[in-house]
Amino acid sequence: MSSPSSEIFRRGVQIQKRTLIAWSAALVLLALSVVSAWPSMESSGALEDFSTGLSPELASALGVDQIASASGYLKGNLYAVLLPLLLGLMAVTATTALTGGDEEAGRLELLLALPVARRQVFLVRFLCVAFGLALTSVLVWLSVYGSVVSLDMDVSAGGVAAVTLTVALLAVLHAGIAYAIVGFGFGRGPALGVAAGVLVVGYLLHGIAPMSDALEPLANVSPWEWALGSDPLLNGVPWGGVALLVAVSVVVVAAGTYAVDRRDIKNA
Amino acid sequence: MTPLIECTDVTKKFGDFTALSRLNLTVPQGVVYGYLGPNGAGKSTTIRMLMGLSRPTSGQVRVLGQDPTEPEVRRRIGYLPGELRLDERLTIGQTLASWGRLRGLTDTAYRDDLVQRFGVDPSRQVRGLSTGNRRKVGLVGAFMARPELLILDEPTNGLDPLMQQVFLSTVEEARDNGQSVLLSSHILSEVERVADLVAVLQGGKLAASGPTQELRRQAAQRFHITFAEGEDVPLTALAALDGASGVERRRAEGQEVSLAWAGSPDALLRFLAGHRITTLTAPEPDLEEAFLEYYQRDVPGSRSSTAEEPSPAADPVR
Repeated sequence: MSSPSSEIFRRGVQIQKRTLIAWSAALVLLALSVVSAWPSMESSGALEDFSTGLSPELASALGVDQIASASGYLKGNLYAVLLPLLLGLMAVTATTALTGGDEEAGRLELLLALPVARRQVFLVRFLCVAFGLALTSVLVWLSVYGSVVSLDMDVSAGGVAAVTLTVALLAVLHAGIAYAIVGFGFGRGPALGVAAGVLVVGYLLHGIAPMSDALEPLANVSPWEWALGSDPLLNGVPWGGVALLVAVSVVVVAAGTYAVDRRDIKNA
Repeated sequence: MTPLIECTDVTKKFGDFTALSRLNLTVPQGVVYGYLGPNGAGKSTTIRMLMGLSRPTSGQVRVLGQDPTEPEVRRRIGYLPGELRLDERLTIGQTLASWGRLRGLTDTAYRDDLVQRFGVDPSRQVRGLSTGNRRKVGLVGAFMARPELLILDEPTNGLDPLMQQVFLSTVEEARDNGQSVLLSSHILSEVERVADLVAVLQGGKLAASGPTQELRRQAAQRFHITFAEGEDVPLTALAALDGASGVERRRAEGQEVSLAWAGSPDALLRFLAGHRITTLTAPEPDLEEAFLEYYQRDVPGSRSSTAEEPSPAADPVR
């Protein structure tokens, strides 16, 4: 990495340091509290009743269809909804803050007048966000994996790694969507709204469309389906889905980078 | 020799609003160039295009012979934005070091000299700095790499008079060193001292440009005349003279008259020769005086044409 890039990267990480620590701490805490509740849940047998009364489709939509098993419990309480949603929001807010937010506040004015290419500044800042997501994901992964081992849960180590990877890539994709919208000059607010909207609609398509035969094909357009459709916690890395997540992320980031180089920088 | 800055027929529109209309501007090497105009005239719009932050709607911008959206050109330019936003989390020293790394600056002797000169304390946190102190940090950043071209947008905003002097001598030193400086301002007197050339922008159009001295000569000159006691004060006749504007009594019913005069004062002196006057004073002409005329006009012409066609009726404000 050339010297200007590493300088931009270091500064970008420094800027989001506090929020990154806060998000990581919150998500690690969430993961730990979910996992540590498992032994008492399992022994009480409360989980057996949890999904009775729900239709199998709805139980599947909520990810609680196999909740009485250890991996079903982890999926239902962490990986099906909560973690991807929160990590996705972290991705979107961090991206819009570092790109559109700083631009609109005039904090990029001097940086972009220095002898560094604009695409370099934006791309490296996107990498800062990806780095933050990777760091948080690894911490969550280590916490879950450590707990699984110490509580002797019947969950495969590979499965935890696989679902962590797909959830992280799902978040990166949404960071990419926010980045592209800023790149095309729509600003921080629209980028935040649209990317968060895609995140939520994606969940609904993935979770709810399968309940109706007519809507079921729609689930396939949801990035959630690519990441979690094949249940990576049980079945390992879904390489097709991973490829799709990576490919779409690359496309949106490339498009945003192309666009940002050809537009005006907003005035504070 | 390639001009340092060349704008050809540059127009910039924001939606329906035309911020800049067919601007032609040439800044040669080794000069201090004053870019003047009231707020909203289009100075910052021009400067952001010179720095490659925005692109003209039509026309062409060349800086150091190249398109300023190319990053390598900007290595040779030092820039102070009109709206300077610094990173609050850093100290001044860290801020300057970060800019230095992004510029690939290795020799920091001049930077340290500037830090001394502007009285900047590198250990201080950026958060909590006043506008003026932030501006000083920005100025050190712009000058520190000794770039061929300095583009400074409202550089003296918020600086105290002492620092303004420091700034002006730093600009002069840069010029003596072969660097060129474009500085924008809405305060004319601060540019007048250092600028070799000036351009006046109004409502997105170039109202005048040329050597500062020449514009000064063409500038409307103010005269104060005291007519002798008992002498009728010929206000109407004075106002009718070709070249006079802003004719007014300095006090109601007083014998003192003040007026602005464009061009050679021959005709005025001949007219006054027919009256008894006790004093005639002419303060040093001021660019401010000259430019107030532009600012008050809706459609400015070129400076030379306004000098030839003074219109007393168009100037009722004074």
